[in-house]
Amino acid sequence: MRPRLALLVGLTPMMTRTLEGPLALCMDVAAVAFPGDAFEAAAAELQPCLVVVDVTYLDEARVRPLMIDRFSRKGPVLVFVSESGRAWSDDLDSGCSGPMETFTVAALLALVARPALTLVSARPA
Amino acid sequence: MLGQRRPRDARRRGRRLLLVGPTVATTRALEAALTAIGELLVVPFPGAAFDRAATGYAADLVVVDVTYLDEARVRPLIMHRFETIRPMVVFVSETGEGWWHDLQAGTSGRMTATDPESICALVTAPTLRVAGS
Repeated sequence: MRPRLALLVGLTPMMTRTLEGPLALCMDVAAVAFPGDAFEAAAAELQPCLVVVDVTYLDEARVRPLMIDRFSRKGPVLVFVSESGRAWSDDLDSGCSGPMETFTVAALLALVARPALTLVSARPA
Repeated sequence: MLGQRRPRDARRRGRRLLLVGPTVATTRALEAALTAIGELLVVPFPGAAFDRAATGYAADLVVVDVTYLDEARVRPLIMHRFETIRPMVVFVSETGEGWWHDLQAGTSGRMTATDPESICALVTAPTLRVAGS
């Protein structure tokens, strides 16, 4: 099974320090600046299950549609975060979006966690 | 040298130009023209490279691409980060809008054109001399 990948886009140094280490314990992590060639290459070539975009200094009205368009065929969970603590998730696979009540590494991982339960066939009575 | 405005004799030897957070299109549009008039450093924003450049590069011209940035948040921060070095700071975007701030003279204004020639002209010394001087 291919290792899962988190892509960190345009993170501030503080946000990088907060997220990079803990996420790397659970999945591969790549970080790129935005905008630029590195982002373009990552958006075209990588298959992340989680994309975290730091919008602390970005204009969300311009950036969110662009990010959704760039990753729509890959179906990751997009999370837009800022140093103010606000966060918003867009699950491009299920089509569900909403604010995140808590923004922690555990909350991020929960967004892309594989279900631990397995379906078992019903035992005949 | 960190955080200091460069002496004028150093400026005459060659300009230092800093391009901050450019899109791919902005990089293509400006890189050659800026390289032709001085030493160019390109850094993403935000990030450690920007922080190092803001404190250690002593740029004469800083060009910030605000195509995807929230200008209301970014402009005060950029102005604050360069208030000691006092370069010419230019905010441009792919829409063609631009704004310049001369932090040494304390003047600013809207740019009617943001093509490479117009940006380079902001730090190019006049070649004309007053007759008889």
